[in-house]
Formats: sequence, structure tokens, C-alpha cells
Amino acid sequence: MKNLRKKGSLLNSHLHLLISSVICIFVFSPVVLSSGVRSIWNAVRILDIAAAESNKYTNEVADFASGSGSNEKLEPAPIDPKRIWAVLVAGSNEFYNYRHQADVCHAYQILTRNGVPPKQIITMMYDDIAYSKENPTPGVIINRPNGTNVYEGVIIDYNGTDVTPENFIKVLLGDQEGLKGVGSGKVLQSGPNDHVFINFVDHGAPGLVGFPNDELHAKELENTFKTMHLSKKYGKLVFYLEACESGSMFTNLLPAHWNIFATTAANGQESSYACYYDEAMETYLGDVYSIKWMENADQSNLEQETLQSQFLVVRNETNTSHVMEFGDKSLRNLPVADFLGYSETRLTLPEVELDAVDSVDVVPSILQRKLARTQNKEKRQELKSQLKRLYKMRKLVTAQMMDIIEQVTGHGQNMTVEFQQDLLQSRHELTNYDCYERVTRHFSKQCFSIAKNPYVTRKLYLLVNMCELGMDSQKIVNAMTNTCHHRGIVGIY
Amino acid sequence: MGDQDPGESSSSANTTEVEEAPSWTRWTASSYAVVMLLLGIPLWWKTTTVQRVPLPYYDMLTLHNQFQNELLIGIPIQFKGFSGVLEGDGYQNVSGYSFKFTYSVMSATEMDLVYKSTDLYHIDRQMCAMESQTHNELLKIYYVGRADLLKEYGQQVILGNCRSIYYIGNKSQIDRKRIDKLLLKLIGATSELQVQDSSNVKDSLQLPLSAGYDILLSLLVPEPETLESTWEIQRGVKDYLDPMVKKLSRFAEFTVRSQVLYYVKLNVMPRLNPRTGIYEIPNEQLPLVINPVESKLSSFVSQNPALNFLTYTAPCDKYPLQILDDTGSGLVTNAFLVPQWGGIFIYNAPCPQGQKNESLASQESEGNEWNAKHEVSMEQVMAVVLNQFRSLIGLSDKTKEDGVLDFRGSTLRDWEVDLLVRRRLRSLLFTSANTLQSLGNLLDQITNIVVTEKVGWEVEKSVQLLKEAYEYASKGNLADGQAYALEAFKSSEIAFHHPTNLAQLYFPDDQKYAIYIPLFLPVGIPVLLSLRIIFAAMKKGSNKVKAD
Repeated sequence: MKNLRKKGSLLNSHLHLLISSVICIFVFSPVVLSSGVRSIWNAVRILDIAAAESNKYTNEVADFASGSGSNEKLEPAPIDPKRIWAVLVAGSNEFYNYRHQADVCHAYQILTRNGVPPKQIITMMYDDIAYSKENPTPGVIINRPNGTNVYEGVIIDYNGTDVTPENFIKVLLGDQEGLKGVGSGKVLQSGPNDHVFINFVDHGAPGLVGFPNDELHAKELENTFKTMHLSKKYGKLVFYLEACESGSMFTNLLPAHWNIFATTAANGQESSYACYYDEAMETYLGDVYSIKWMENADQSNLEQETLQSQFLVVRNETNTSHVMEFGDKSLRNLPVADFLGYSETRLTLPEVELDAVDSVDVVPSILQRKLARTQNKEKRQELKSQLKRLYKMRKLVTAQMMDIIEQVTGHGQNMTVEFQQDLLQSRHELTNYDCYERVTRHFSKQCFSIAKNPYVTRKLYLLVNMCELGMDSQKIVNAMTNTCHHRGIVGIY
Repeated sequence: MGDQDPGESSSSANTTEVEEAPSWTRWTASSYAVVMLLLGIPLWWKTTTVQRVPLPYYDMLTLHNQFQNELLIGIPIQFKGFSGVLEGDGYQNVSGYSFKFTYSVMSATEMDLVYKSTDLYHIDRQMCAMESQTHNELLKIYYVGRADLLKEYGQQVILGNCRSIYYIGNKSQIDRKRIDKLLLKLIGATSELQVQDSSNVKDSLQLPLSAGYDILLSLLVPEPETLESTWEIQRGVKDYLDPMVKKLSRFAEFTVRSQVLYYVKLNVMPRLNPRTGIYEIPNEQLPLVINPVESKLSSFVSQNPALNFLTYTAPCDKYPLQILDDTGSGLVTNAFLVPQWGGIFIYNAPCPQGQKNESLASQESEGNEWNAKHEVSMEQVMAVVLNQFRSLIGLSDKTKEDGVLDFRGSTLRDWEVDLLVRRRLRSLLFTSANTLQSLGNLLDQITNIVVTEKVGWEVEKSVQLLKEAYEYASKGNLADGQAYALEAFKSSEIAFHHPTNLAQLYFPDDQKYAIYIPLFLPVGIPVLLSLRIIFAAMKKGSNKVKAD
């Protein structure tokens, strides 16, 4: 059986060879015999003359020899913006997370200004901040203090509860059937020569990023890209990801042959940062990494700016977290215009104080600032109790997590101090995705919804550590079932 | 011609007055070029590209993971009590299985059965009869509040021989711990941790995945000249094995064969224990026992994996033969199990007296007189075979278990077969999903794997069937679930092992160029260059016209 199979394949490859050589002989041999000798001689002659006589000729010959490659070098022509497709996702809701949707709206403005057709931009955002009652300027979203309205003209394809990881994956896979009747039903319809730009902004944790009600796991994203690559859904793809621990979404998961280039706001072990606190809006207007790449895109000539130079600018200016790059590094030399389009308009933006803050501290700091400004006694009381609840709930999350760890480790028996420190203090790199995904899914279901309790993401590194230190996933799951009896607690920021 | 021509043409080129080549050379040259560019190159391109039909890649890559996270095989259970609705419906998930509870009232006939029979065995037999009539595959828990049974059994839950479970107690509520224990028993686990893990030791006691299995019963007679053992295997199979195989037909097809092998010896070096006069086989020797025998065992061709049950009649010079366990004491069963392969039973047939120390020569001279016959006891052999069979298919080998009614008449309980089917369904789903995932990953990593339409169709089919099977499995419909899963399994195997996948595997891209470039370049360049000349000439021709 095995032999036969091998024989078959060998035969097949031989057949190819045979056919091709027969073609060769039949097609070319008369040429060689009759005019071949003569034309070779003529060719040599022409080359000689050309070299001696005119420069124009040599240029042409050089072009002829090296093909279109040199043409591009001489005159960099970025691809037609009509061949760019884009997916923009803000995975959060509520006014505290104003900045995520603001970032996405801003990205939309950049793309449309640069000539990417709006029907090729797919936007997913909850869309609850523009007309939120907390927004003092209804219908207006800004992404920098005193900035322009970035909400204007934004067409949102999927809003509210349609913003889910499943729909995001379906959009990427071009699953029109699956999205019938959901949102606008728009999906990626790019082909093997098109460029795709994806920008995702939200909270994250090791190996996952949040959506309003659910989480997207690194492996799911990997499988989606693998599928997109196998079914030739794109020529080249660029992914800009803003989330905490966003590096963990791509570490060891993005092979170079997929033609995907990704940069992330942070490495796999740290928070990303919010910035631009606005006194009037009483919230943060942007995220450091997003603001940096978008303001770079606003201000520079995108035909000359390469992905690499943009990455370096963003990395150097984002001094709060480590901006990372992943995937096919050969894409770095392409101009940004290949993915964001190009226009002559360049904005000049005045310097504004960045005022960066760790995203875990966003909500407390907003509350503190409100408290400092408010004179009204009742309001102060309310803010104080909100802060108090916040810290109390955070403590609850930590306590529950410690309970789970204690149960799994048998209340710390037979544990050396080093092991305990390793478990509680260090941040292991995520490699055991199966264990971690199972455990976090169960945690999200049984204990606290990760998507609805952003603070929980800060504690998930403990689950990574447990999985990486070889603890049995079933044991952890059982411990969660035994520990968590409250359900449906939301809003732990 | 070769020498003169170039000289002439170069001089003519310098004087701008181009010597016109005969027009037919131009036409032939251009026609060759046209054939090469329009026919040759596309044909070459077509024959060397890797054909790939579109596949449902996302499902292929994620189904395995989805099963791992979400697969819960449904097990509907009905509580049967007296009055009205006792409790609301509920469900409980135990490591990969989802028990769905419903509550109902006992019917009059059931009530009659439970309260008028003499003992539990009688009740159970009647229930089985009723069940086989109604073809009801639901698990039922009957509340039995009889004082006499309570006295006999104490308060407990007892599993019957069919799909009936009896709760004997004085409260109509069964307490949680008992339920949990019962549920674990129903899925064949002793603790919750044990089930989920696929790398479990218990798994090694499961059969390899296949559509069917062969059972091969062999009687080994090492020295027929001294003692010729015979067995009445047909009766034995009919009486003992057939009922079991019939019950297992829902699980898989079993084909039973038997054979008697003469002059085949096991590879054992028994030691004579001088104290007892018994030849002992130490535990360490057991792994080596089957190696020399195995090649002689299967004399038929089958695609299915075989389960071998060997009955070895001890040769007379090593009589009686006894297997020792790892502590050094004799095994009562005198048999041992080889996971996924079968079992060996050492049968001590009584040897004719005075034979033990006779030499071979004397045996030969008077062979006929000593050729004694012995009829192997089918009861003894079959008892061992059935027990080993149970263990090999992954059931607990304890025939007597706490909280389980003894068998009377049958050797497999219906709920045990259900357990096997569920387990098999699970591994079918996981294995085929895993195969598809591996195929997807391979296609990503090795770019010159061909995917023909046939393979594409099999993959598509497998994915669809897996989804169907998944639906059925979570509803608890075992028969349909297993049928779909089995088809999906076959399709995925065909797709993964299809010979056309490898058609171009030994023909990687770099080799493609390494072969074709030396082949094409020497002939391609002249053609292209002659084209160039033709264009140049045409340009000049038109310029001339303009100038004129």
C-alpha cells in the first residue's frame, strides 16, 4: 500500500516532467534549428551596439532584464486604495471606555480621508458613547483634547450586542451566510491580491482580548488567520492591536509565511496605557499606542513612511509600554499607504500633554478627578461610595482567585517558598493554550465575566502561571466550581 | 553559412540599411514565440501548480477545540416516583457528559411490578421485558419504598441489568452524594478527575478505533502426540459468546472465529517449585510470552483489529502450569490480559499418568498407546474469555459490584453497552476532528500537498457529519450520533490518507525551478530575442514609412 502510493506520486511527478519536456522539444526545437542560431547572433549584435551607442537603450535593456521590480524601486507606486479592505473593532462599551471607540472612529476617518472606499471598511463598535447621557456634547466624539469630531460620517456595521468574537471571525472569514440579518451583514470580500488592515482596540489579558460580552482567544484568532491564509482571503495583512498584554495574542502564533505583520501596544506581560484626560468629558480620550500611530498617520507622508518607520516612531514615543512587532518582517518595508491609503491632506496637530495612565487605573483616576472637582456634597458622597465599591469588588476578585489557587495547591501544603513566589509573583509566558483557554472560559462562566469586569483581566496572569506550572486544568475547573457561587456580578473596573 | 552570415548582418546594421530577412523566417519565429507564450507556458504552469479545491478550513481547524470545550454527551434520566411532579427539570454536567433529569409518575403497571414482586431480581426481569417491548432507551430511576427490600439491601441506589435503576429508601428525595456516585458509575468513572483526561491509563484498556472487530479464539496444543485436547467451540460460542456479541452489536460488529493450533509452544521457562510440585511462570516473563506465537495466529485476512483469546493447554512435562502475580503467589484465574491485543489463559489438562519423565524415543515407539484425548471444559474457558472480553472493551471486570445487581443470564447490562457506545462516540468525534485539524495544519505548512475534488468532498462530508453527530450526541441520541460519527471518521481517514495528497510532495518548488530553468532557458532566450528583433524590425519599418 505504502509502496504503491509512493510509486503513484513518483509517476505523477515524472509525468509532469515528461509532458513539459515533450512540449519543450516540440515547441522549441524547430525554433532552435531554423531561426535560433541566427537570432542568438542577432541578439548579441544588438546588445553590442546598444552598449556602444545610446544610454536610453541600456536603460531599456536593464528594465527588460530585471523585470518590473526595478520599476517599482524607481517610482514607488502604492497600491490603489480601492484594493484595501479594513476591519475596525472597538471591543468595549460604557463611557469609562470612551477612548476605545474614539480610537476606532479616528482610524475610520484616516482611512476614508485616504481614499479607502467606505464600503470596504467594516466597523464594529458598541456605539453607546456618542449619545450617552454622560457625553456633554451629544453626537460628538473626539480623540484628543479640542480635537475634531471623529464620529462624523462613521458608518457602523455591527453595533450593540452584534459586537461579538463570533461575528468578528465571520467578518474576517467572509462568511456572508452566517451574518445574514446581523448588522449590515458586511464581510471581508478581499481577494488574494488585496491588502487588509485590521485595527482592534479594547481591554486584554494574556492570550485573550475582550468584547462587550465575551472574549476572543489567541488560538481562535490564530485559526482564523490560518483559514484566511489557506483560503487566500488577502495578499498582505496588517494588524494593529491595542490591548493590555496584547503581545500574548501573537507570540509564537504568527508564522512569517502568512504575510501578516502585526504590531501591539504592549508585550505579553504588561498593561497598555490610556491618555488625554479631558476635563469637560471627564474621561480619557485615547490610548497611547493608538494615538501615536494615528497621529503619525495624520501628519506624515504615507507614501514615504514605511510600516517599519511608523513602528519605530510609535515605539519610541510610547514610553509607557513596550510596543511589539510580529509576523512577516519583510512587510515592514512597504509604505503605510499600502494599508491606510494616501491623500495629500496632512494635518498639523498642536502638542498636547499626554497624561498617560495605566489602563487599570483609568476608572479610579476618573473618579478621583471628578471628586476633586465636585463641590456638591451629595455628588461627593456618591463618588466616594463608588470608589469604595470599586476597591471592595477588586478585593473580592483577588480573594476569590487566591481561594482557587489555595484549593488547587491543597492549601499550600508541600509548597516551597520559591514555588509560591513563582506562582504568585512571576508572569510566565503563555504556551499551554488548551489549559488556559479551558480555565479562563470556565472562570468567565462560573466566577466573573471577564468581558464585563475589566479588572479581572489584571488577575488572569495567575491562571497562566497555574497552567504553565503544570497544574491540571480539570483540578482548576473543579476549584472554580467549588469557590464561585455568586453569578452575574458585573462592573468591576 | 554560419561563418558568413553574421559578418554580413553586422555590417548592414551599422549602415542602418537593414538587410531584410526573408519574411517567412519572421513569421515562423513569431509563430513559435506565440505558441510558446500562449500555449507552452500556460500549459506548463497548469501542470505544475498544486491543485487545491476550497475546503472548510475554519471548521477543520476549530472543531477539535470546540469539542474539547463544549462537547457534552446528553444522558436523559427520568425519575419515577408516586405523587405529581416531584421537582422541576434540571441538568447536571459531569466532565463531558450532561445529565438531563425529568420527573414523572409511575404508571399503574410499573407500580404493580415494583410492589407486588417477590424480590429485586424479579422486578428487574419484568422491567427488562417491558423495556424491550417498548424500545424505550431512557434511563429510569424508580423509587422503591418497600420495607422488606429496605431491610435486605439498606438505603441505597441499585443499578439493574437493563436501563432501570432502583432507589431503595424511605425518603422520596435521593441525596446529592448518592446521585453523584451513580452518575459517575453511569459514565464508567470512579472519580471526576479521571474521565476528562484522554491520556488516562484506563484508555489503554480500550479497543483501538475501528468499524468492527474480530474475535479469534485459539486453542494451543503443544504436544498432541501425548495429549490431544479438543474443544467443542461451536457450542461454547453459541451459549456464551453469542448473547454478548449480539448485545454489543449496537457498539460495533464482532466476528467470531476459532482455531486449534498444534505444536505451538508459548515462550515460557517455568520453574518447578519443589515444594508444591507446580511449574510456575514468574510475572516478569509474561511480556515475552506472545511474541513467538503471534505470527502463527492469524491465518485469515481482515481489515479489523483482532482480539485474541488463547487457551494454552499445558504440555505434560510442565504440568501443572501456574502464573504468578507480582507478589509471587499464584493467580487464581491462571490467565492474563494484553491490552488491545487479547488474553491468554493457561489450561491444565490432566495428563495421562506416568508420562512426565518419559523420553521422546519411547514416546515415538509406542506413540499410539499414549495418545490420550481430553475434552477442554468450555465452561472454564468461556468464563475466562468473557471476563477478559469485558476488560478489553473497557468495562469493569468485577462481576460483583457494590450497588449493581448481579447478572442473571446475561453478561452485559444495557446501561453498560450505552456507556461503551458513548465512550466510542466520544473518541470517534475527537479522533476525526483531530485528523481534520492535522490535515488543515499540514496544508498550511506544506504548500505542495494536492487537494483533489475527491478529498475536498470527503473533508466537506466529514465536517458536516461531525456537526450532525455533535448535535445528536448532545441530545443523547446515541444510535444516530454514532452512525454519523462513524461515517465522519471514515471520511476523515480517507481524506487524510488519500494517495493523491502526495502527488507532488516529492516535487517541491525549488526542484521545479531547478529542473525547468535549465530546460527552458536555452530554448526560451533565443525565441524571446528573435521576437525582439522582429519588433525592432517592425518599428524600423514603420519609421521608414513615416520618413518617406
